[in-house]
Amino acid sequence: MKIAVVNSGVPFVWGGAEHLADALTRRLREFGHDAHLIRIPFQWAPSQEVLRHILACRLMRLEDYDLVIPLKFPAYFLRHDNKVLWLLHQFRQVYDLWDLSFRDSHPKRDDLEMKRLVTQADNTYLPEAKKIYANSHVTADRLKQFNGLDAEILYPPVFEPESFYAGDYGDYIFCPSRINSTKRQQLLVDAMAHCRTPVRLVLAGVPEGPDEEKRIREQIARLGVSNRVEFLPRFILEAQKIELLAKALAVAYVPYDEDSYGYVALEAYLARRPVITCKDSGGILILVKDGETGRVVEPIPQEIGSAFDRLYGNRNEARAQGNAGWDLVESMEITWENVVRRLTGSG
Amino acid sequence: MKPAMKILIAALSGPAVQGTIGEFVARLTEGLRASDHQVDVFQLPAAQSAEALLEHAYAARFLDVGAEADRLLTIGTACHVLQHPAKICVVPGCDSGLDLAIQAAESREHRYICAALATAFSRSRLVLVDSTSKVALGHLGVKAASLLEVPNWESEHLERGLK
Repeated sequence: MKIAVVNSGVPFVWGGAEHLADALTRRLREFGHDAHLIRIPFQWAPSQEVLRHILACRLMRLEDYDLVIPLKFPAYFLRHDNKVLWLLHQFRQVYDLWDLSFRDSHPKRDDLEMKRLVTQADNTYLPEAKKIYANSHVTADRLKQFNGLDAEILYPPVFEPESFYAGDYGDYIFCPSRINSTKRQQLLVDAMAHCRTPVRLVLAGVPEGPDEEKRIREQIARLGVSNRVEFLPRFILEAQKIELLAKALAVAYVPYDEDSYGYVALEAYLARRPVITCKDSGGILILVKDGETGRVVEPIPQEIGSAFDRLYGNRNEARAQGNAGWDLVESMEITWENVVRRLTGSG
Repeated sequence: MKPAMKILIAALSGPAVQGTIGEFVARLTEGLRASDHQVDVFQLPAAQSAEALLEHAYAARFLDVGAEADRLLTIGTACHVLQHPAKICVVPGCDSGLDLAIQAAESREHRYICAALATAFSRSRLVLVDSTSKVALGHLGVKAASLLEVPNWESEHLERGLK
């Protein structure tokens, strides 16, 4: 089939949606489709810009395709008779983020008009899609709550799942993630102060600011755990991340209330590592089953430390839970083959 | 060449232009990045009819690419209608938009597209054409003071617009 993957984005801002659009286009080609990426520039401030971009997308038609797969607002307004939406983002500023945006001020008339028109455009044009898939239950719930529309969940796979492998179970807990306060790496460092075994912690990722790096460094020094915590506050190459995953004892990922499950747990399971997370971590809880594929504990350093110690003392349990995680990903069909099959309606 | 510019590319994408404009954009992006420029690429749909081409021209007029880029390179019609203070229009001979405009001669779409292109070119820093696209623009009666005919617009001539 001739397929257009349609995305929109702010120039020079490159995030998960952009990587996903690229990966989807590539995978569609691997499965024999003639797939092309369309990427529309977008600006979301001031309010009038949002409406101009809705209008621009609505003006464009895709004539040379059998199937169009839009991913985001406002790209999903492009005209085509056979649209299958894989929804990653609506314009959340007019939905769940509206109250947050105007916590300290009142919306102006332009803001209210934008909210009304974006909602109306979503309500009118989203139902044009033959089918709506959402990347997470949170995205689907939001679509239902604000627009009354149903979406089926279609989880995004890791971009290159073939690259991951399983090595021996080492002596360290690995946490690959951007360094910021909502990812709560500080909880993991605190947990190390409560460990009774020689288990180590490896934190790797780009700090969101100099303060974040300083905060973790000071915490490590203050708690006297520098001999057991390796801090890599930088971008690490994919190959290095895959190797650190493959040789870890387990993976820890303890963000606060995230929308989607993120890629950390998926990548851990592809390397057959168990995952330690917290009861308030959000989307990841659909993947981590306590005592089966890892540990789900209270966001308390003592409990996290105890989970580290238990796996350190029992590698067979780490191996069994990691293998169970791998089985879970298989059973949930979080694979590109499944994504391509469902989006193209081929089975 | 001024080092480490932010360069935005807006090019046509689709089955009809994949092997021509698509490959050129891939080579161009690679070359610019090798020269340490930061490059971001947008792909706009190639029109298959004069009506759609006109709609896409209107759409491009509404799209805002922001102020972060030092240069905007537009490749193919109607990407040239995008607005930027330092825009370089690249008009390859394989531009299907130009062919559609020529085929729609005497129509409303033809007149509007020619006017839109003339305006877009008048507001650009440089228009790079090859011999084929120069002939096509001649058919359309579109003139541009900044028009530069180059035998190979993939080469060093582009640098003139990047200075």
